[in-house]
Formats: sequence, structure tokens, C-alpha cells
Amino acid sequence: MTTQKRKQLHRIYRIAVSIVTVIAGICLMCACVGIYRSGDKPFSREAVAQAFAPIALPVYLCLALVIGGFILDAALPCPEKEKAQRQPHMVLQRLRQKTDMTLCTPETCRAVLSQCESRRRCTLICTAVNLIAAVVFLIYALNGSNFHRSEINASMLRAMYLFVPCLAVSFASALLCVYHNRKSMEAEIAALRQAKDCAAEPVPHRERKLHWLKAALIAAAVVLIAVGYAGGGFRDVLTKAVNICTECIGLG
Amino acid sequence: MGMLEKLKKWMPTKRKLMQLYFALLFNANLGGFVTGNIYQGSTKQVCVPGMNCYSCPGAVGACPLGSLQGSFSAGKSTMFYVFGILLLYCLMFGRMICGWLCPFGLIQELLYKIKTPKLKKSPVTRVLSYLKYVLLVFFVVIVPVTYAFKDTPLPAFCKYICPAGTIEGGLSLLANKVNASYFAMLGPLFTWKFLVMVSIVVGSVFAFRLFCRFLCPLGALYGLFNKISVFGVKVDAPKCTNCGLCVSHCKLDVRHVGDQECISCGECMEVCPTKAIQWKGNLLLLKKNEGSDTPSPKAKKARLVTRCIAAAVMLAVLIGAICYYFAPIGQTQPPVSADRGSEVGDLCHSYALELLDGSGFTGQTLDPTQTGKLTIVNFWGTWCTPCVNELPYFDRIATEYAEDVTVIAVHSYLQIETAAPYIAQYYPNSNMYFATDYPLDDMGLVGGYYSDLGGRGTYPRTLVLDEKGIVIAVFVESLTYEDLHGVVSSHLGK
Repeated sequence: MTTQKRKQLHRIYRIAVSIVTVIAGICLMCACVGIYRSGDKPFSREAVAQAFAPIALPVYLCLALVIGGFILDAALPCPEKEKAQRQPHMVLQRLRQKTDMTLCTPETCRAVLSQCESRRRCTLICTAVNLIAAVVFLIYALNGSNFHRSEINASMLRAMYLFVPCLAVSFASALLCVYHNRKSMEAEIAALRQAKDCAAEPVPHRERKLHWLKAALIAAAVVLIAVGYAGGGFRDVLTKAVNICTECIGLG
Repeated sequence: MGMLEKLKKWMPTKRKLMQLYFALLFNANLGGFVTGNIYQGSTKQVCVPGMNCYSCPGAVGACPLGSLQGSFSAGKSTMFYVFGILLLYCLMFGRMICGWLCPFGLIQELLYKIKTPKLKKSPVTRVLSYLKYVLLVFFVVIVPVTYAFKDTPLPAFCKYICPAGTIEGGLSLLANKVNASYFAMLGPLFTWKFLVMVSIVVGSVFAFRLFCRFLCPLGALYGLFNKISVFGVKVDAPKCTNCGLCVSHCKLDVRHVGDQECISCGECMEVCPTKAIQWKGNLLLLKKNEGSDTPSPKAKKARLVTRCIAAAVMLAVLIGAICYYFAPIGQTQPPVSADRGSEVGDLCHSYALELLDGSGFTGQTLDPTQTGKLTIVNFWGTWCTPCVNELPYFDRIATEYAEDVTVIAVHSYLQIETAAPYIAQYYPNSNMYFATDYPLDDMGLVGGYYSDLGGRGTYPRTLVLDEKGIVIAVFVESLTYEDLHGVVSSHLGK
């Protein structure tokens, strides 16, 4: 089989297995929601097995395709090799290391400085937005009266109504900042690439060793364990671990 | 490509073997998957380093994240103990645990092997990688601490998100026929967690370590210590040319080798042209980092011998652990038998429960079968959120039916230090009787009245006995006031 045909075969297989995997996942979710919505409480093993029976086909098909994929890969290995792209911040770091700014033209210096300033400003704005979102949410979350003992799920749901928008705002700003900084870095890279005659002398690297800090923290950890163990702390861990945590596994 | 090279391609890497090894070691109670019971031995007082649910039938250690959330409501000693263990793991290994020891990481990596179009790292995934810190702060710290102040233990992350708990604990237990009664407990929470779990499993097929990268609070915690951890990877700065091949080769959202996202898998070492990436703590492992100089045949032979010895020791430890957990030593599963009075219609097993009040033991005992009234026996614990939440309903029933019903709330714990203050604070003048059970010793284990009445490690558990001590109802789920009222009123005809 020609390389081109092999590539095509693998591409088709990948798309097919993706579709089937997603369908199997959706079917599993629908079956679970269906059981819950049926309201036949208390649920039984038999009822659940019966509800899951119709989705056996996509699940088995998915499994068969996965196994088939490994056989396909063994028999006809895919010639496609993905080429990793270098990250702009690493390229920039390398260029900066190689470039002595004092030897560059004023235009290059100006271009580099303006990009740095633009990134700094953008990061500051993003940090401010994130801080505001965090403070707004923390004011709510740290107020104990918003979390009721008798209605935990409802309290958590109410918290989510504030948590999700704050998170969305925070992530939107971070995303915009990342995109802006990426563009800015690319512009800086282009400016630095033009400054070919500004080779810098290698700067000796100074490594910061944190052995004392490490040793102190490890000693602190050992002391904490010893104090906790002597006080019987392990018994609480054991109690929780030897009983089935029905909440942890979603049983309620 | 030669046959040997083809075979080499299919051979698992050293890291995969280590992941598999630790997944087996942390779940060495293989018999649990057959019996449907969880391990209840003393090794569970130690947290394992990776995400491994302690409600998994195979688990032989405690989950660090679950223990951390539980410690907030358990007291200073527990907090010191759990914090100490976590700090030690952080300082020793950092996120190397995610790459080498975490069983859930292995599951995700295996799912990623399925050949589909993959989601590559991008600024979006980079931003999403901060989500795990938000989850760490809110679900692992703020919510459990807030509820700890209200004397209600709430492992919020485990309860609402953790997919490891749903797969390893929930599904493993439900899959066993012995646990058919657990299906009665299923409800909206399980539906939600099942949806989260399926989303993560399907997502892991398309994105490398989806859960670890975006959601895992344990990884977030370990990542904070990555730079100062004893073991891991580091860059030998004088050798590094900043070519960026390591970062571009990495499937995680790292900005630099060894930063908070790096799981120290060591795959970047293979692509580094100057061999600038090295193992940290190599001296402790008595292994020299590979440099440009090729090792002598003698050194090669010595290394091979060391590796063989290490592999043999590790294998022996694993086999020993599996044998140990198969053997009855340190493991006593509660005997479940109808003849002891755990099923509806049975004469309930007689037992002298030691009574408690707000100040401690009262010195009196009470036998639930000898009250001469309708008796409700509820097994609870201050460490169990559903138990704590339903206790007021029992109190109400005890007050409303003071003449006809005896309610005994049996606290399941090793010691009364947490129960007595709780009773003193919330139920100082209650009509309920408080008793204690669960004589758990250092060797092991669940016993007492709870196991006599068919308890298999799930709480809360409630039994209703008639005037003659015959079991008329058994509940292995949280109850509402209406549920309780229905049973009582139908029996009393009121």
C-alpha cells in the first residue's frame, strides 16, 4: 500500500473512532440521565442493567474499533509524523540570550521595548480583572452564612451561580491576555531576528540552591507527621478510609 | 525497520511499567474486587501519593485528597498528620508523582493511546491549566473548611467532581452483585458524577491527561513544590541553548522544564540535543546522569546488575503485598449473614450498647432488642456528612413518638472524643439515646454491632425493629423525615 493510501486509511480510522467514542459517551450519559429521570426509585441492579442494554452496541463498537486500531497500527504503521512547533516564549528567550541590546539600532530597541511595555500593561490589566473576580467570589465564599448545614447541595448550587460567571470573566481576560502576549512576542521575535549584528557574550549562569529551605521543610513535614501520629491523627484517616465514603463515590 | 525495533515500539516504557506497578501496589487487595468489599486494614492509615480512591475495593491506602478534606473537620492531630504526609510527598517528589505513581494518570494515558485526532496544547489549554488551582482553593479548602466550622464534614471535591472516586470506588463496587443494595442509594448526585466521569474519560481520549492538566487539585498542590522537590527533572543551565525542543515536544502546558506543570516524565531528555535535562536527586538513587561521555562497559554492567536487583526487589514487594492482602492477616471483612439478624423478618442480634451523652460514657448499656418498643437503630459518625444531616430527623421522631419509639443513634468511631462534644453541642436534651460501637483496634477492624447487623462499610445505616426485636426495615441510604415518619406511623397505625 502506498504511503498516501496508508495516511488516508489512518485518517479515516481516526475520524471513525472519534465519532464512535463521542457517540458512546453521549449514549452512556443519556442512559444515566434517563434512569434518573424515570424516577423508579429505589433503583435496582436489574433496572439499571435493563436501561443500559440498548447502548451496548455503540460501546462494543467503540471497543472493537479501539482494538482494531492497534491491529491496524501494527500491520500498517502510520507514516505520518507530527512536527512539534516551537513555543514563541522559548524562541524569544533564545533570541534575547543571543542579542546584546546595546549594540542594536534605536528602531529595534524601540520596537522591543514597546512590545515589552504592551505585554506588561496587558498582564497588569488581566491580573487586575482576575483579582477583582477572585475578591468578589471570595467575599461570598468566605461568608459562612452562605453555606447552610441543612441544605448543602442547594448552597453549593447557589455558590456556582456566582462562581461560574467569575471564573468565565477571569478566563476570558486571561485568554485575551495570552493571545495578545503571543502576538506581541511574535512581533518582538521578528524585530530581534532583524538585529543580526548584535551578538551578545554568553552570560555566566548563577544557580540558586535551596538546600537549606528543602531540608527545613522536610524536617517540618516529619515533625508534623510525628506530632499528628502521636496525637492519634492517623485514626481519623483510618476511620474515613475503612468505611465506604458514599459521598466520594457519588452514592450520596 | 527491523523486527527488534518493531517489538521495541510495542514494549511499554520504563515509566509505564512503574505506573502499572504502583497502580497494582496501591490496589493490592485484589480479592476486594471479587468479594465486593473494601479493605479495612491498618495500612489505610497512610495516604498513598497518587489519586486512588480509598473506597476502591482494591485500595490498601488512603486517598491524600480525601484525607486532606476530611482532616479539616477532624481536629488538629489529623490535620498535622495529613499535612505532614502531603508536605513530605510534595518536597520529595513534586509532580513526579503524577507522572510515575498516579493510577488515574495511567488510566488517562492509556485512553490517550486510542488513535483519534488530538487536542494540541495552545494558549487556551494553557489558560485552562489554571483551573485546577481554582478547584484546589474552592473545593478542597474553602468549602470543607467552611463546613468544618459548622461541624459538618464535606469532602466537596470528592463529592461533586472526583472521577477517580466514581470509577475506582462507585463503579467497582456497583459492578459486584454483592453490593446490589447500593443501587437504592443512587440519585441526582451519582447522575451528576457519572456525567462528569464520562466527560473526563471521553475527553482524555482526545486531550493528553485532561484531568491532570485542568482539574486535578492534587497535581496543582504537588506542582507548587516542583522547583524545590528532591526528585524530578532539572535543566543544567550552562548546557542549555534555549532551543525550545523540550517544551515543544512536551504534551503538557509547560513553559519551562520542571515548572509547575511538568510531571517529570523525562521524555524531553530524549529530544534535548545537548543533554541539558537531567534527573534531580540522582545521587540519592546512586545513578549518574547521562552526559556526553559514554559509560565504560564495566559501568554499563554494574548499572544492569543494579537495575536487575532493583526490579527483583520491587517485584518481590508487589507479590508480597498481594499475598499479604489475600491472606486474612490484617483484614477482617464484616461477616454478613441473615442468621445474625440483619435482614427484614429476622430476630435482631442482641447486643449491649454502651450509652453516651455530652460528657462521655454514662456507664449504662442498652440492648435494642429489649426496649419493648418500636426501636430505630441508626449507625452514624461525626465524620459522615449524610449521617450528620439526617440526625435531626431521628431527633424529631424521638420527640414526637417519645412514648412509642426508642431511637438509638450508634456513633461509629474509635474513640468518643469527637462524639461527646458533638452531642453536647447539638443534642444536649435529646430524646434519642446515643451509644458507641466500632471497637477498631490498631490491627484491624470493623466489628461490633454494625458488622453484626450486616454493615459493609457504608454509612448511614438504619434498622427498624418491632417491639419483639424483629427487623422490619433496613435502610442503607440517607433518610428524610418523611421516610422515617412513614415507617413509624405505618407500624404504629398512627
